[in-house]
Amino acid sequence: MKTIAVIFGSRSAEHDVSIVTALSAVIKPLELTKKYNIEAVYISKEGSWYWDDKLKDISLYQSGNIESFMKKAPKVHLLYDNGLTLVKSSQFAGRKAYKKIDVVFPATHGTHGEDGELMGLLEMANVPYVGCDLPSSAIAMDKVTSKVIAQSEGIETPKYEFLHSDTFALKGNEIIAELEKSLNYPLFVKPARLGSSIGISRVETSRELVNAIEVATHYDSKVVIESAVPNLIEVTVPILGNEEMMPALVEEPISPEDGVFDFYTKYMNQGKGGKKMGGVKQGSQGYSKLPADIPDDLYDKSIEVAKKMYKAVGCGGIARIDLLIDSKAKKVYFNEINPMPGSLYAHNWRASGVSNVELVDKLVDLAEKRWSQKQKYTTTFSTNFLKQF
Amino acid sequence: MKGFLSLYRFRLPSYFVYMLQQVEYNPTKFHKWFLRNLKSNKSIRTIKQRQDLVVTNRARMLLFLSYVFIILSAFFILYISRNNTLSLKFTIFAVYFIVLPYLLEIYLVIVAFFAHKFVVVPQKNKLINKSTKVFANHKGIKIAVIGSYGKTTVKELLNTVISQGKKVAATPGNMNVQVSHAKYARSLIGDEDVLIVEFGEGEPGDVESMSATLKPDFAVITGLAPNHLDLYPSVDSIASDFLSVYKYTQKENVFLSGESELLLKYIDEGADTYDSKEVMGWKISDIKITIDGTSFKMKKDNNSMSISSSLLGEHQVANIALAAALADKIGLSKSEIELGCSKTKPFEHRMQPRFIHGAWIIDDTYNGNLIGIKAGLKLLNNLDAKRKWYVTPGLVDQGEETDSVHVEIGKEIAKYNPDIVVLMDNSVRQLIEKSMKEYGFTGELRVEPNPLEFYKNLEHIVVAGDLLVMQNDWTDNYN
Repeated sequence: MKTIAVIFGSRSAEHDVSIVTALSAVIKPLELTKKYNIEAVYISKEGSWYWDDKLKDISLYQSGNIESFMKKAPKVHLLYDNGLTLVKSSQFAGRKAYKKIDVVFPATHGTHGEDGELMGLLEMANVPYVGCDLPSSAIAMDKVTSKVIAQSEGIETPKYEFLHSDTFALKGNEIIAELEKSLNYPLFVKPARLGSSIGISRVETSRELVNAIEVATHYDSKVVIESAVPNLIEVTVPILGNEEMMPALVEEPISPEDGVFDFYTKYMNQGKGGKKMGGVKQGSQGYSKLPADIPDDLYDKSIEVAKKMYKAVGCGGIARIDLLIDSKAKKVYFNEINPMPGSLYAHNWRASGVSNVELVDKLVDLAEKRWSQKQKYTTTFSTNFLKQF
Repeated sequence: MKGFLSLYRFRLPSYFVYMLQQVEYNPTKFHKWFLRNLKSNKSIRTIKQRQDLVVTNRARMLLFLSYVFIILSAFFILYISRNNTLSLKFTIFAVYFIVLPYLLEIYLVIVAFFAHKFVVVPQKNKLINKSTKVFANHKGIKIAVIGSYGKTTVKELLNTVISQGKKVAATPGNMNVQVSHAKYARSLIGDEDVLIVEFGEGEPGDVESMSATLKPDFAVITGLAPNHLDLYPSVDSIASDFLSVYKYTQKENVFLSGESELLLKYIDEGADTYDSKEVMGWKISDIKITIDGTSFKMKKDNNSMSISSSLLGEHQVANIALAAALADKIGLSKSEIELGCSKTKPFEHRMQPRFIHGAWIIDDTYNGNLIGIKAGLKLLNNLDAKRKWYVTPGLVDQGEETDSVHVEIGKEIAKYNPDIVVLMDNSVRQLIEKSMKEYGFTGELRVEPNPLEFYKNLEHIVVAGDLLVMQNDWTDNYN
């Protein structure tokens, strides 16, 4: 039986979302396949790594007992020896427990994980891992870089500018004036490398713009400011696959009245709780229409744009592409890519005919295929270079 | 070896008491389970798959007595070997240790047997005598509901429908043994218009004894199946027990299901049967079945009724119609009957539909007979779905009929050929699997080692558009 390490948590504003993704959408379905041994690897908010079966229990985190667990539990060491091995002290007579890992399932969101950092570590270990690789994760997680890629592929994006927090601290007024010259209100202000809608604001005045930038710079040094799309319909398309892509249903999140779809709307209030929203037919997460209620041509175009972006960025395994539609102009704009969608967007996959168990099993298979393909490439090159010295 | 070694766990008494609880403290069933477990060499640790020990006073007492037995027997062995050499003492104690689990099992069988004979039975008889008097003095119409299957459903249907026009008291849940009837009798106020009593059958003479106690004005026999053959010697003896109700109820007031092929073999000509075409002279037509429920029309002479119910399945038509016809017979109006039927809804774990993430799950895990399995598969076949699943662990309590019943289940599954069949990894799995293949099943077969895990994690397994019919239950003592 193969051993899969599910890595979650991490130093990220989306740390808690990651726990839910790992425990509800990854570990349990992987166990239900009865094909793998599952090892839970938790990265604390401070960045310490732990590996224990107890970490599979959600009540450990809900009760706050995770703190006392971390005080007692030994931390994990990673051994790179033609693969990845987890090592921890067994706490008995200096013995250590070892576990060779066959596949890694990263279930982290946001910084220090989903942004490619974790994938770099796994690439070094030469171990198969699920989801987007290092470059695609890094590109996807940077809203500015991904927009540049979209433009190079001829995909439309809303008009945008970006800034760095240092520059804003020095020349705030100048920057605001320039932004107001090049972009028209209303504007959206977002941290460039964060997901789960954290730190996002919709603004209509200079004062609001300054505040929103300040809020965004609390989360990221890079901030993107973009024009609102008129006659807006937001849609999102989860995609599965490496070279061969399989889109799920086009899903239409329902924007709240203030037009901002923030973390609390998404996960705390009318999100996964699934309360009714004005009698609108909802998706499984309770805040979306599934499939999106849009004309067929826009539906097809959304899938086409999403697949094009997935390929252009070089995504693999799974990702979710968010799009913005101007319903009158019938234009589809690329908004952003989420390389590890929260809870894998399992509700959408179920509605598309892929069960949670099938989804994680496919993802492991895709990870192994990509890794096998990479093994074919030569990574050594013999020369007499060293003999010169 | 694993099974043998597992008997030497410190918590062995807790596992034994758990299993006694599972077999309702029946010493014979407990002993049968122990022998089966020894034969299969399964670890005792794996028996608590579905539940855990419920710490009742009785369980606590048995646990206490078990540990007392272990301690006293150990002292006894030490005492009788006190004058022997050290090596002989060691040998005696080693032998004692090896046989201890078997001694404990025998001890618990004896304790359960004597507790049953000298505590449970006298208490039971006292209660029954009291309830006989209560029922004899009660002025209400008494209806007995008897059968190998469907009796709780029919009792609840009668209760819901007749309650629209009469004050009804029915036995609660599936409390259908004489002791629970006695408790029910004690709870009666005396002003009830109708009493509805479900008769359970566990061993020969049960139904006759209950009939003698209640003396029903009306009786319904919902069907006959080869259940409880571990205590009933044959299907003949079950039928004879059911039909003993004729001794206490007028022939024209006993209604028998005409859809139970097995029951039809035992009844005399002129017996009043009911089915989905006709009940007590009411003709049934326009039957419609969807995931939302069942509807049909009933007509007798110049009277007609439009019946609708949330109950699922064609096999429910006769039961709903019977409730409507019997309600008519005891004086309810058409509007009361129609309203009553519309209020009937699926009972827990009996063809109970649940909607999970776009998939329909029909939970019929309380079904325990072949007729119900046929009805479940037919329902699965009749309803639309993107993908159809059928889930069963097979049937327990089939006695000598076990092989033939499970071959029949396999044949029936193959007949409707669902997309996916999930069987549980137990002693009848291979029988069903072989039969399914022989009769041409072409779908996907999955075998689940842990039923509880499967049931608990359906949300991870199904997708939108799936329809899953989940039938039967396999308690731990049958593993």
